[in-house]
Amino acid sequence: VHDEAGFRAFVETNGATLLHAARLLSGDHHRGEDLVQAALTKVYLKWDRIDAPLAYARRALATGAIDASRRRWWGERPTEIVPDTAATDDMTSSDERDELRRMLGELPAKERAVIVLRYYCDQSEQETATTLGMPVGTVKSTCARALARLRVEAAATSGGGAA
Amino acid sequence: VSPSEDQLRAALRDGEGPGIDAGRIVSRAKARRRERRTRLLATAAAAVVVAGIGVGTGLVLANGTTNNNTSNAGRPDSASVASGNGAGGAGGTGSQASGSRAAASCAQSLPPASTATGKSSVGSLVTHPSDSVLLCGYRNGTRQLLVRDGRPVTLSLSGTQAAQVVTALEHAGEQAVPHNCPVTLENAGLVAVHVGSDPPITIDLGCGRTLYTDTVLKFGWQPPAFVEPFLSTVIAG
Repeated sequence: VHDEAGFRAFVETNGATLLHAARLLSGDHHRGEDLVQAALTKVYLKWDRIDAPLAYARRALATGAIDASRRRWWGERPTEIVPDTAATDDMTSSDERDELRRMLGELPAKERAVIVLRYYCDQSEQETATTLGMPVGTVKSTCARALARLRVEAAATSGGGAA
Repeated sequence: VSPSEDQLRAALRDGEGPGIDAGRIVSRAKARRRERRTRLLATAAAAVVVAGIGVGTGLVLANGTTNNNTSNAGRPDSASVASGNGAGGAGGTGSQASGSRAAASCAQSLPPASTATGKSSVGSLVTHPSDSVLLCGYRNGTRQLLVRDGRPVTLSLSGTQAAQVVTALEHAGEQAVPHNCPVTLENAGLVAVHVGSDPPITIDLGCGRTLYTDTVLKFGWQPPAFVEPFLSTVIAG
């Protein structure tokens, strides 16, 4: 990579959002870190050849997360000491948001990817379709299905909480 | 919980942490690139080794084939079978001079040959002159090598005598000369003349003394006098 400084600047600028998107996509703090590192490594190796590094990185994240969901997870090993996970005051204070994040984690990988790209990365349906390599119609239907599932889950949760 | 799009966005943005250490990504990517290059080099080296082994094996096999061909050519029987040119069989006896044609020998039989088809009377019978000549006698009908007293009827010449025989071969006529033919010569014998590395020249000792190779046909061979005793033996069968 001739423009290593450019890559570093890109990571400084977009690293936080990419890492968070990776955590949302994988549903796990550490897998998210692995996912973003793998995606950014791909970006670095192709840095001189890609025109839109952010779009490339998001595509790498989404496809990486979907692929990982398809195969058995061999990277995980049982351990006696559970590692600390990052937690913020906001997370602990917001039960509703926690609940939504939990429900998001229960969605199928493709639906989760659509939701994250549309509502976290603020991509349009067309951009989401390009990133995931699927037709716009499929993005629309997948997104609608995912939102419906979240609403049903949310209603069930709130109903259960009321009872 | 009623997840509107705004709530969803807020929930998703909740908990955004600090950025990533770019240096770690760069060092990891460089290590990955090194590993990829090493793997690529190893694959290329393996391919080169496999190709080298393939080429080497091919060359060895090719050399083996060449050597076999060479050794077959050196074996009189094989050459005689393969070429049908009569360059095989037992070594000649009754020779007057050994000369340098030790390798040439008489085949046990002459292959059947037409005296006219595809042949031209223009051209030379001898393309590779040699200082030695071997003549082998054959029966006309069976085309088998003549044997007298347990020995093949052959004549080996060298030096001046060989040169005279070659000259006589070259001076054979291009057209048949009509003449009266005695009955005794109608089924006279055949002679195969080995000169140098050329295919043997077959001479029909019958009327007209026709000479031919695979490509050339000539007539009226007039041999030197010192060959006549040998020819008489062949004609007598």
